[in-house]
Amino acid sequence: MQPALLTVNNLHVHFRTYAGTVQALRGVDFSLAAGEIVGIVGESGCGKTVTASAIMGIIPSPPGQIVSGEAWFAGRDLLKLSEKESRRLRGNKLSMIFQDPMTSLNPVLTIGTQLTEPFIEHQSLSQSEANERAAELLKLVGIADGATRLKQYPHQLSGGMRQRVMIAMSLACNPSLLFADEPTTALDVTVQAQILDLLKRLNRELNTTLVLITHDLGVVASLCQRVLVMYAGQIVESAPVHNLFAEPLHPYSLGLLQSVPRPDFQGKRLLAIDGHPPDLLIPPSGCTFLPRCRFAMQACLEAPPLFDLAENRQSRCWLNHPDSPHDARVALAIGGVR
Amino acid sequence: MNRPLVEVHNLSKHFVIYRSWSGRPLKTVQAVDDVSFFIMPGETLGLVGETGCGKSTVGRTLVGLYEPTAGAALLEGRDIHATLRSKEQSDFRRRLQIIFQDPYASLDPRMTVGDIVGEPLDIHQLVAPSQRRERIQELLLQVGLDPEHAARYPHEFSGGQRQRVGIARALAAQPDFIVCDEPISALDVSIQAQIINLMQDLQQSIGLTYLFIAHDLSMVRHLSHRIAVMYLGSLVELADSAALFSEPQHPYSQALLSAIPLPDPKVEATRERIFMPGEVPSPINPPSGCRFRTRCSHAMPICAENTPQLLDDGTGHHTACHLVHPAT
Repeated sequence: MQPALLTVNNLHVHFRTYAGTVQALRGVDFSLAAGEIVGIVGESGCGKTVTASAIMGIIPSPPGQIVSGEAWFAGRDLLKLSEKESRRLRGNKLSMIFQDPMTSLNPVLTIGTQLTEPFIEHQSLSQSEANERAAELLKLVGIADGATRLKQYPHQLSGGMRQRVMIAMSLACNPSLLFADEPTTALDVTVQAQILDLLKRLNRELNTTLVLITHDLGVVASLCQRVLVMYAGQIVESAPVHNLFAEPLHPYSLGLLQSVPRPDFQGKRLLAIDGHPPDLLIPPSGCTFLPRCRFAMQACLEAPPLFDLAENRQSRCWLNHPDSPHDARVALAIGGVR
Repeated sequence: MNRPLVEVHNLSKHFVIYRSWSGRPLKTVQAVDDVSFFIMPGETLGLVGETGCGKSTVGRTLVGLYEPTAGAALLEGRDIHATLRSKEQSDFRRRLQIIFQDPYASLDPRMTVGDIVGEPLDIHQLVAPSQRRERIQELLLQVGLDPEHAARYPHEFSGGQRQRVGIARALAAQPDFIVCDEPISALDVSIQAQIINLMQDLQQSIGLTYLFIAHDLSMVRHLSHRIAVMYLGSLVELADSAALFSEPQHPYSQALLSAIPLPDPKVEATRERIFMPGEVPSPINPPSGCRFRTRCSHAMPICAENTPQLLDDGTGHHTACHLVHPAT
C-alpha cells in the first residue's frame, strides 16, 4: 500500500450549545492514500461534514471545539497549526467544495474576483496573470467563454455552472487533498452526472485525492474506490466499494443499502431502518446503533471496538468478533431476514 | 375498463411576469404547455423531470392551487376548477389533497400537531366535536406517530416525523387523490424508505390514488405504476415504469435515465452516460417545435417546425418525438 497522504487518529469534536455539549465526533480514525477517491456516507448529523471541516481547520470556535485527535498531513499535524499556517495550506494544498452552490459564492463579488483570490493569495501572481489562470481553470471545468464569465456575478450563472465555479476555485492551486461536501445534492441528475464525471477526470489527470461526502449510495458506487460509513460521530464500517455493496459487515451499512430501491429488487418492499439516530447530547453507552438494529444482542450493551478484518476492511460491530453467534453472522451475510 | 379518477386535457399554465402599462402581458413563463394524461383509481403516476420543468405546477394546478390558463383537469369526469368556483367546492377540496416538499415550511409552527391534523376535520365537519380528539389520535397512529404527541409543536419533531404529520393532515380529509410534491427529497435515505413504505401501505389499505412528483428517479420507479417524463413544460414520454426504464424511447428520457447513478459498483463500472450539450432553455422563450431539439443529438429539420404529439405506440407507451413517430 502507498504511504498515507492523510492519517486521522482519534478525532473528537464537541459543540457547546445551550442544551449541553453535543459530541459531534466521538473518535474518528482513518487514513487516505494519495490519488484515492474515498466516500463518506451516513445520515444528516452523523459527523461527515464536521470531519472534513475539522481537518480543514474551519470549525467555528466557539461553539466548536476539537477536544482531541491528530490529523497528519505532509509531516504536520493539521489540528495543531496556527491560524496563519492553516491559512497557508487551506485553498492551497487542502481544499473543499461546499454543498450549496447557491450560497457559498459571494453574491456581491464577480466570479473573477473570487476565482483569482487563491492565485494572488497563495502564489503571489499579478491580477492579469491570475485572470489568465482563472480563465484556464474555467475551461478545465467545462465552462467555455471564460473571459466573459469572469466578469459576471454568481446570480447570472445556473446552479450547475456555480458548482463548476466552486470546483474551479477549489482546484486553483492544484490541491493534493480535496473534500467535496455533497457537491451534487442541490443539482439535477443530469447536471450531477456531468459534475461527477468532471471530478473523476480531475482525479485521474491531476492525481488529486478526493474525499466525497454524500448520502447518495448511487454516487458512491459510481465514483468511489473505498467507503467510510459513519454513524453517530464514529466510523462504523470502512471497506473497498465492491466489498461494501456486495457484503456489508455492519448492520447499519446493510440497512442503508436496503433502504434504497435497487433494480434487482424491483417490486419488493423497501427495508427501512426503523427509528432515528441517537441524540449526541447524551450518546448511549453501548453500541449507538443498538436501538435500531435487527441483530441486537446482549453484548451490544457494551460499545464495540472497530474490528480490523481481512481485505482492508473494518467494522464496528460485535458480529465481527470471532466468538459472536454463528447464526446471527449468517443472517447478516444473507441480508438480514426479519 | 374502469374510468380514470383524474383526467388532464391539454392543460397549460402560463405565468405573466411582466406587463405593459395597459396590462398587456409582455413576458410570460410557459410553465406547463399542453399536457394531457389520466390516472386510474388506486394508481400511482410518477412525474419526473429537472428543476423548472413544470412538474410542481402540474400538481398544484390539479389540486386547485392554480387556475389553468387553458385546458381542463377532471375528477371523475367533472371539471375541477369549474366545480371549485361553484358552491360544491368544499367537497371537491376535501377529495384533492397535497403533501408538500418541505416538512419544515409546510406546517404552521404556532399550531400543535393535533390542531394541524384536526383542521381539515373542522373545516369539512367530518367528525362530531366529541370524537375529534379520538379521530386525531387515530390518524397519528395510522402514520406511525405516537398519539400522545398531539399536544406538541412541529419544532419538536424530526424531518421524517414532520412529513408524517403532513401525510396525516392530508389523510384527515379522507381524500381520493393525493398529489405528493417531492415528499421525500428533504429527508435522509433511511427515513425516505420509511415514508415510502408508509405511502404504499396507505395506498393498499384505503385505496388512495397518487400523483408522485420527484426527481429521485429510482424512488419514482419503485413507487409508480406508470411514469410521465416532463421537459420544459411538455410531456415527452409516458409509459409503464418497467417499460420506461428498460426501453426509454425519447432521447431526453434516455439521457435522464442514463444520468442516474445506480447503487451497484459493478454496473456503474461499465455504464455509459448520454450527455446533453448546453443547458435547459428559458421557458419564457422556449424553442419552436420540439422543445428538446436544441439539446438533442438526433435533431432533424422537422423538429423545429412541428411540435411532436404524445402518441401511443400501441402498447400504452406514449412518446412525443419525430424519431419514434415519424410525421407522415
